[in-house]
Amino acid sequence: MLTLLTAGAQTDSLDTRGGLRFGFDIARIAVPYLDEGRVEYDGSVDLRINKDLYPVIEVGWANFEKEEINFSYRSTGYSIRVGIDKNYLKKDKTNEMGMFFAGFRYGVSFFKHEAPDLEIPDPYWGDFAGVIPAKSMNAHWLEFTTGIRAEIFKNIYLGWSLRGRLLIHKSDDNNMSPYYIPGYGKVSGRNTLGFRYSIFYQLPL
Amino acid sequence: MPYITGFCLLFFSCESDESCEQSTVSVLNAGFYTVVDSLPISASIGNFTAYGIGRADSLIYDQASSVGSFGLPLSPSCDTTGFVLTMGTETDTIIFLYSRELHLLSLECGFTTYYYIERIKNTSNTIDSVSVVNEKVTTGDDENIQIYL
Repeated sequence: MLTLLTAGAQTDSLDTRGGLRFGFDIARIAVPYLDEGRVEYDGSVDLRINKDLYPVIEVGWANFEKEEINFSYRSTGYSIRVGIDKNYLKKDKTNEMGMFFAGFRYGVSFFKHEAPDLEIPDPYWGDFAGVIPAKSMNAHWLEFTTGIRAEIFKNIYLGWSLRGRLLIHKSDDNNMSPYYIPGYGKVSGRNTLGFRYSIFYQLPL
Repeated sequence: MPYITGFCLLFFSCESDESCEQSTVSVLNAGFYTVVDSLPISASIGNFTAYGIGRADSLIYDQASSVGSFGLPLSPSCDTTGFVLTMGTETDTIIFLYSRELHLLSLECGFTTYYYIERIKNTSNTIDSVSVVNEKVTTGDDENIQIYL
């Protein structure tokens, strides 16, 4: 990492020393209250590699349970999103990491989904009760993001970002198409919108 | 710092409480045919009665008149379902052997069972032969079998 930072300093006369920044999405705390049966955790790590470029890795875990009239559904698993943010905010101090940014992510999710109990009304033979056991699934998507981030205390940042996600692929399942993909959200059509509100800690260098 | 706002409530989509507006029972669709000049021609039965074996108390068709096509509900809890068909004065038994697949139609409608017909056995009092034109039995209207008289 030192060589990387030195290289950055050589190509840019400004002091571009940044650092690792760890983020935690605090908007997820509200999710179970807004959408019952939905629990999500999400964190991120970003690193400034030159004046305005920040490669990012985000990791999330989610559990989604839903009770419908004739069945219950559960989807649980991980997601990893890798991408880069570009800052467009002019800075007073060159080494501050506050930003107005736009960027993209490539997201992958590995999850399991199941219908732990289901009932099919049958007027002739009698109602049928069954189960669809947990099945391993995956999905990947492209994510576009924009947002802001501001330093509220030394090395502590707050920021929000918007997410537009474009589903590229999801596993086939003849029994049921994935209804919820961890990291991506509910599947209806080919895209979802998301919102993140995060707190960050910048590792001092 | 002044830009930080929390309008997260905006971004959780609303749930719609729509009701199910389609059939959730998969029905095997059958049609009657005769062969005229080696071409299949739709036929109809004047007096048609049908029930599932084991459910003689519950008729699916009760002396229906001029039936050209009809639907039979396969049992979702077995791999075999038999039906007794009375066509006019004669009666035949037809037995379907199939595999089953649970399928989620939609959140509102829940699951249905899709059936894949593997084999058909039948008696031949009135029925000449049975051919499978579409092995997959769904909630749709596609014809699955043709019964030649």
